[in-house]
Amino acid sequence: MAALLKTRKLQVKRAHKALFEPLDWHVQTGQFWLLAGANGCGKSTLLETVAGLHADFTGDLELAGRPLKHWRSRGRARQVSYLPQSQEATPPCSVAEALHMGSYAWGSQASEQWQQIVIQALGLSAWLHRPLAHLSGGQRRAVELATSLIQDSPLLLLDEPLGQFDMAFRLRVLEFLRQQSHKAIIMASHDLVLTPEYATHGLLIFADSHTRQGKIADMMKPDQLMALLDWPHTETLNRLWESRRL
Amino acid sequence: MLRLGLIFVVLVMLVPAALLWGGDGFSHPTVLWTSNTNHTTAAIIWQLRWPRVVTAVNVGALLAVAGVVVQNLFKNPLADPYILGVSSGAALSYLLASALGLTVPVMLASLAGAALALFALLVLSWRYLRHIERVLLNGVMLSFGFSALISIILVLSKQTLTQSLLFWLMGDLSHSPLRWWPLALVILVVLGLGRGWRELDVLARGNRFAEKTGVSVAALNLTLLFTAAVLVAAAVSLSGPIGFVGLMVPHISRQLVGFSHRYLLPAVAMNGAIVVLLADTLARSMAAPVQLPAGAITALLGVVFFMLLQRRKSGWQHF
Repeated sequence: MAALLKTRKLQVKRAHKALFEPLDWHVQTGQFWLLAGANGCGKSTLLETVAGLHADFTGDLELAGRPLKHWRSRGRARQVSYLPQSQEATPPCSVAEALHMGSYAWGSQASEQWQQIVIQALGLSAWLHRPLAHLSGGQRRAVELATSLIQDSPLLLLDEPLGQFDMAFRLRVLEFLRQQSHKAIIMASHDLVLTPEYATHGLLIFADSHTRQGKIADMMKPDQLMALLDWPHTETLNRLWESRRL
Repeated sequence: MLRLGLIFVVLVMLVPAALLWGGDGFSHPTVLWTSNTNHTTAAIIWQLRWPRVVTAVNVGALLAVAGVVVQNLFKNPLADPYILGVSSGAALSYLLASALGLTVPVMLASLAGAALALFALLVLSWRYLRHIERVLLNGVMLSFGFSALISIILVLSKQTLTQSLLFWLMGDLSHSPLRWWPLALVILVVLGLGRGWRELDVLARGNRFAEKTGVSVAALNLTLLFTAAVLVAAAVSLSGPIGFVGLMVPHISRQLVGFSHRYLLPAVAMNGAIVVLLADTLARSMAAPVQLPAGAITALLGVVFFMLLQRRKSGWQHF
């Protein structure tokens, strides 16, 4: 079976400067990748690149066995959906209209049933007829996440999806994501407490532009994370770490 | 759908009202169907007012649809079709022809100017179709440049010519020959863009959102840019640059039929027609025999409208 995402010697660049060392990476159906690293290490740019929105890279990048450049917009959107860190504009549309946009790439083949499942799972039913602009920041983020899910692609890229949510809602989202075993999920996150409990694999990008990948249990080793995040050694940090609250 | 029907009814009722109302007050409606063409009132109605009513409908619809297209293209509620620079290009071309004493028809001169301005905009913006702010900046820049040249021409022209040119620059429907092609153009655009209403809705969320959702943004933006330019060029060639319609009517229409372009496009075309028809009828009847420029009336209506709009809190929000 072809990997959903396959990179060979992929180097993502910003202003012509490579963000990390050449990356060989395979992502398969059923995997849930946690993408971790300090601010500015290139997590978001990597996701943008895979989503087809950032063209400044070298090396090979294949979606479902086909080079990224050979995909046209609509076909690519059926293959990969992407939740960016922030949204551009909020036009005067209703929540229902905004959610419906997620299924654009499928045209008349869009599944109404799947849309209802997502709406139920994230508890959005009550807001459907409210203007998008009247929601709170966290609520709007939930609508954006749902829109990406409604796009119903086998590969799901989520950039910091949980940051604005309360703990209950984070758990609700993670539980729902875990059920999507027919998809592959790549989530960039600074959350190293809850998300590792759900992820199956980890890709770490270190400050010195090294990367490391593997099973999540092997990635979440304390010394490795300390090096990854360049944490200062303080007493509070050690205490939190000992008690597994961090 | 019901609201679209209501808007259509208002438009249809406004046409005979505009035909009957003139500087001498209201004529009796029977004039409209008496076949006595020697009748002076009938002659005024059918030879002077009828072409003017049709032109007002055409210009209003053209500008309003252009407004919706441009606001969607730039994701900006304050975008006006004139920021493309196409209209000032058209105006400059016409003024230049008049000032040089060339006897070129207004329509030809302004269409040529609009085409040149669009060409300049496309050349400047070709590489940035996915980064639409650059296109906007280029349009504003061109617009300022053309306006500066227009001012210079106005100052250098003879006084009588200056006055007539100024009148035209405010938007003038008084020399309107009867033309049906602009209406055909509007219907074509509304149907053509209307088929892709979902694409247009998605684009309103932002270029990157649209691209990731599956829209070919560069191709769509180019189509929209070109469509808006053609609509504006047609409108300016008919009546000179009438202000505020392209800005105001999309807002009114969103309040009436909502955000989706499925209903917004036809609504905006009809509302544009209503606003310009109303403004021009007021302009020629209110202070008769003095004829006010229709553009001044639409601008006044626009100012009142925006003051009211500020009291309501809805519309586009940016991050």
